[in-house]
Amino acid sequence: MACPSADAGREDALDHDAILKRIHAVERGLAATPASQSDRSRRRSAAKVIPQAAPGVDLPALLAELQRIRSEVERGRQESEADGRALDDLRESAGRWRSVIENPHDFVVVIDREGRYLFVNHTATGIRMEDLIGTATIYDYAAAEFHAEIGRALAKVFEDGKPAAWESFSPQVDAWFSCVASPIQDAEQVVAATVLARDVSKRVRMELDLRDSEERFRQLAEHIEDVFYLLDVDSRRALYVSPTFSDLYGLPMSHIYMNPMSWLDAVHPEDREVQQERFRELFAACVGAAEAYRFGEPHEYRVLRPDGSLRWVRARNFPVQGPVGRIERIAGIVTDITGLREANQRLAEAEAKYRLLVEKLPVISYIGRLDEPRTTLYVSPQIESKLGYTQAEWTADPGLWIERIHPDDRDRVCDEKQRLRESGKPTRTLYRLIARDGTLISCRDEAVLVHDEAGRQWVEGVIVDVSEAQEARALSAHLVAVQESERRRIARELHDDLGQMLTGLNFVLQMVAETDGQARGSVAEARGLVGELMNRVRELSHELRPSMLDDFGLLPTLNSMFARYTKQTQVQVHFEHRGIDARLAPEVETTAYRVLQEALTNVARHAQVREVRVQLWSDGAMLHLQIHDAGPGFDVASTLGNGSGSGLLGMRERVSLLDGEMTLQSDAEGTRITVHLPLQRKLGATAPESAA
Amino acid sequence: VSIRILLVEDHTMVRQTLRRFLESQQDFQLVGETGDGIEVLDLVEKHRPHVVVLDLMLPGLHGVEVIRRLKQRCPRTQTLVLSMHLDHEYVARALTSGALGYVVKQASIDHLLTGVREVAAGRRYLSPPLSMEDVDLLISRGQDGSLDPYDTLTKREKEVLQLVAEGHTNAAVAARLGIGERTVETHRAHIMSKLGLNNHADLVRFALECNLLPRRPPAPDGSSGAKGSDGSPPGSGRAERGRSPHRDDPGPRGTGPV
Repeated sequence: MACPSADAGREDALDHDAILKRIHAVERGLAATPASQSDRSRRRSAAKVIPQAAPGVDLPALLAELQRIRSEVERGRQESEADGRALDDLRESAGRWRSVIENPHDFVVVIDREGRYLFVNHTATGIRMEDLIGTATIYDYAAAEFHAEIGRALAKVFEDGKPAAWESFSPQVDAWFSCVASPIQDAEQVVAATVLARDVSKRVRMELDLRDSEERFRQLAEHIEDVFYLLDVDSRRALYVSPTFSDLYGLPMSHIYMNPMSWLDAVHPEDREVQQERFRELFAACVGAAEAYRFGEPHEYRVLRPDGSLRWVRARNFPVQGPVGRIERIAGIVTDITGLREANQRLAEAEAKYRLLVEKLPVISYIGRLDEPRTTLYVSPQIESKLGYTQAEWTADPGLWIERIHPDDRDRVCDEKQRLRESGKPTRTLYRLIARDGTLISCRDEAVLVHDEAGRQWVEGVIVDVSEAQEARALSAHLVAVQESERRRIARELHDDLGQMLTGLNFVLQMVAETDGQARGSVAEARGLVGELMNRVRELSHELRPSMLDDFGLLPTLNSMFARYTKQTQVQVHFEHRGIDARLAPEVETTAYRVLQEALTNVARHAQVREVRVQLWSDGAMLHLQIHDAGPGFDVASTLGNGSGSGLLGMRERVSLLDGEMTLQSDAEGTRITVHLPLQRKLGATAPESAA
Repeated sequence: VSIRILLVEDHTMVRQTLRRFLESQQDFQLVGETGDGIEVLDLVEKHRPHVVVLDLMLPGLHGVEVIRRLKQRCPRTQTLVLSMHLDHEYVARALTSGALGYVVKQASIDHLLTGVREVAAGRRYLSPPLSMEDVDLLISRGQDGSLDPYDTLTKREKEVLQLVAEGHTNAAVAARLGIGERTVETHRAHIMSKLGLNNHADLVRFALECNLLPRRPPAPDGSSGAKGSDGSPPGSGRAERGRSPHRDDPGPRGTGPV
């Protein structure tokens, strides 16, 4: 449809202004022309305008204004009734105005001072008339970032009475509008404004797209680090080489333009021959002489720059065909891949190391889930050599692990895993696994709990075959036990046999003295010696192993020991205990006693203190022992390292034989040895409760 | 009236010598002798001695156990221990089990004879170098070791316990104390094993029992202070100690506004 006012957009505000003038004129004309020709359009206009206008106060004013204008026009018409041409003009204008109003592409809107819609010619799809008239403002239908601009434009219209134009985006319609606003004036002031809005989305979006692609191109051009080049096949000359060539190869640009082969000078001698041959093949391929060369296939080589630095590069060449299909030019790109290669190399090394660790160490690593469903995600291949099951068999059946645990250990292991889940504390569990062939393998299973991003719990752990270590340990434990029992036996013999004989001798001597008065002096002397001998024997026996430890247990033995200790060393022992009234397992008592003996000896020897604090307590599962002195302390690591701490090592050995733990802290607070001993042996022991 | 004596000594030579001494006394009558702990009870029931002279180291039944059974079966028979052991622990054990006297074997025979007469008269007797005070002290001390588990923690561990129980994360505790997060972990692990705790809930319970944490939030009207002063909360069994690892922290922790 040829629309006479189609060009009344923002490009020509004045033209639009003229249209508005004509609106007034047409109103006059319509009022003045009772011609049947206009009847229909007038009714239609009225039907449109009046019901759609807002019920606000502005409408009567507007209508009154229109009425006033009409009467003025009427008067004017009477004044120039002879002028038929004027009437024709008006009629023509009416047609143009109508076409504007009825134009389905443009929106014609009347708004008040606040931007409220008073009138719209039609609405966009999905927006109802009643959503606009009297309820919404022009701002509501424009994206927020344009409100300020619209505000300025409307100010110009309402305050200065001048037309204004803007462009804005409407999110509701998803369209860009070019808008022109013109004032509708009362006698004194602007009471409303017409806004002509045209959808210009297509143009704006094209502009925006263009802007984006330009930006992208600019960034590409400025940031690319690769070398581009274009070679002419016939002349074998470089038509273009990007400036980055000079940086990468360390050669001046002039070189490559003068001699297209000069880049080979920068190639590492070991790679040069191959690259030279490739280059020859490349040109041969362009004339169809060599089929060996494949365009686009990357070849990597080293560049040895004049400054001695080495770079790895990757080059690719592409054919550029001329109009008749002949390859006339070669386009190429060279990328510096030194960093990539180094990273790859490091990654490969790390991977190899990791794999070596995971797969070559005599340790079974695993990752699994403890919460339901129980799954084994990974198990290292050592599983096969140790247990006779393949990795695949092991991961396929998550229940296999439980199944292969020695029945006596199973509940205890489940308890431990449960504890790991609940407390999150790393666990260290000793148990026996039964290999496929029935071999019993002593294992140490050390597991930690990890959480992934999804909050799931994973268990990562290693299973170490400690069968040999277990044997060594058993031997060590045996030696310790033998040593203790030897000491016990000798102590007893000294005390009982030798002691009793000396006792007998003592009494005999007394008898002699009673019967033979003359011998009294010598007998007294002899008795003195016997008494001393008895003391020595008693001390020796006690040092070897106090009989009290077997007779009465730990607590009385320690009390007695502390009394002796204080007497010998002048160091007071501040002893506190709790929950250890009952007798404990003999090996636990012995270990605690020996550890304490060694620790107190160290305190007397090195700590330079007058007091030592000993704490001994039990929670039913563990016996805890802590020895604390406020002495100057010592460097734990170096003392243990240089062999001077053999006493400490012995303590640790004894403690570990009972699956206990010993920690040694030495700092400004002094030295603190803490020992935790399980009251019941773990390995082979039956768990008190089943986890299932 | 002579003192009827049963001699219990497993070493034959010593027993023979002792017998000669005992028999040489006018007022003593040796009614029997044995070297076996189990036999003692039967012999006592059979001979009804006034005094049993008893070595502690006996085959069959340990001397202390023999004393205990004697005391039950024949409370009127007194026991005098004759032993190589000088340790007061042995003396205390013998006396608390029911013996009335204790003579060390290296003492002179006169002490043994005096011991028999004293014990027969129902009096306690200890030969030199034993001291009645030391033994009494040992006996009266009893088995209460007075250890407070909380005191087994180091200063740092107490600080960590307090903050962890108050609900701070490891990271927050580390930041507060100016130490590494891993160090906090280690301290936590030490605390847990020293106190025999398995999880965080145990730890909080322990802190509550030690009055490290307020039992209930402080009342807004400030009346909680008055409540706290009239004793510890029911069931705590301990007085409010105002324990805080921070020494200069004033007042009990359980009641004041935190």
